Amino acid sequence: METRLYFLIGDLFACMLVAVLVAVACSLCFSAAWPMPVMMIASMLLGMILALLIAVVAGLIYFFGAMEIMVPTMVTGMFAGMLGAMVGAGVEAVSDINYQALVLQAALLGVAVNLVIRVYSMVLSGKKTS
Amino acid sequence: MVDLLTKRKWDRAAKSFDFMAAKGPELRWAGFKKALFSHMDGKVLFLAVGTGLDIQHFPPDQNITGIDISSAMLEKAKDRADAYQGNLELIEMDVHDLPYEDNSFDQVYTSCTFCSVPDPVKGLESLKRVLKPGGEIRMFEHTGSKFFPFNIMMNIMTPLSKKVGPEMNRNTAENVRLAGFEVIEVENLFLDVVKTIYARKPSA
Repeated sequence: METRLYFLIGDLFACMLVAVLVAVACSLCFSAAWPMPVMMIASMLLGMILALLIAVVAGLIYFFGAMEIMVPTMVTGMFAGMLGAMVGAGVEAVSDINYQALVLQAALLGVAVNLVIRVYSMVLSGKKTS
Repeated sequence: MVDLLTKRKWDRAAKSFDFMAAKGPELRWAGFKKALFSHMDGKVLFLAVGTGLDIQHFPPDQNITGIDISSAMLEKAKDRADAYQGNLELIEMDVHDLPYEDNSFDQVYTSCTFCSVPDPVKGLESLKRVLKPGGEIRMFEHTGSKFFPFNIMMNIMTPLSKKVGPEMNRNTAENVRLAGFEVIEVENLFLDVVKTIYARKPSA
């Protein structure tokens, strides 16, 4: 279980950054013209791929770790992609998107994913002998 | 015969490998790796030495053979190997085709290796062959997850990730069992994804 402040803050920052960037990107990519089920799946996939790219390009993997960053950020990307797509589909034009609200929602989503993964990891960590 | 596709993939990856792995991941796992490698004893085979990032965690005065399929990786590992205070030999080699005699090594170590070996069970069987009866294999690995949503996500991403590097959805602990090792202990370090595996070749 990770307890060092550098990684606790880094992991949180990574999830928040990815959530915001992916949500904004997906809000621009999707509109009401998309059939809802297709949009949900496509935005989830796009979110994961964007998350991985952001994790590499923004140096999140360089500074904070490999799988320990890739897994949480890709999960964040999945959900943030769907959030962004729903926002994009809910407005008539891109200019109608309330970015302030979207950024806040996405950042909170990043915090939530980070916390859930931390709890998951706490529960799963430890030795199993056979 | 060397798997040329795998060799080429890791030769290409050698250029950016340290950028991806040298800082954050090393800082995060250095303590766990040091603890894992502190068990080194006797004649040791270290599989997939890569650019040699793990060498700094080896205890001194050991007798280690470090192998890797990629010559470009080993070229980068050379300075780190030279700085090691002990006997460390680096050799380009494919784990599927080890030229050593049966029962040659006391221990085998791996570090983030079996996410990438093309045929993991065959590779592990090859390691078991060169390991002495009762010999240990100690592994630091990342694997797939049994839990939602990580399992679905890693299954979706693996076709992409394996083009440039590792597969994200391997069940390495199970592969160790399938290869005929007796798994003694699995310790999850991050989710059920990053873990250490300690297993033994049966004595008889």
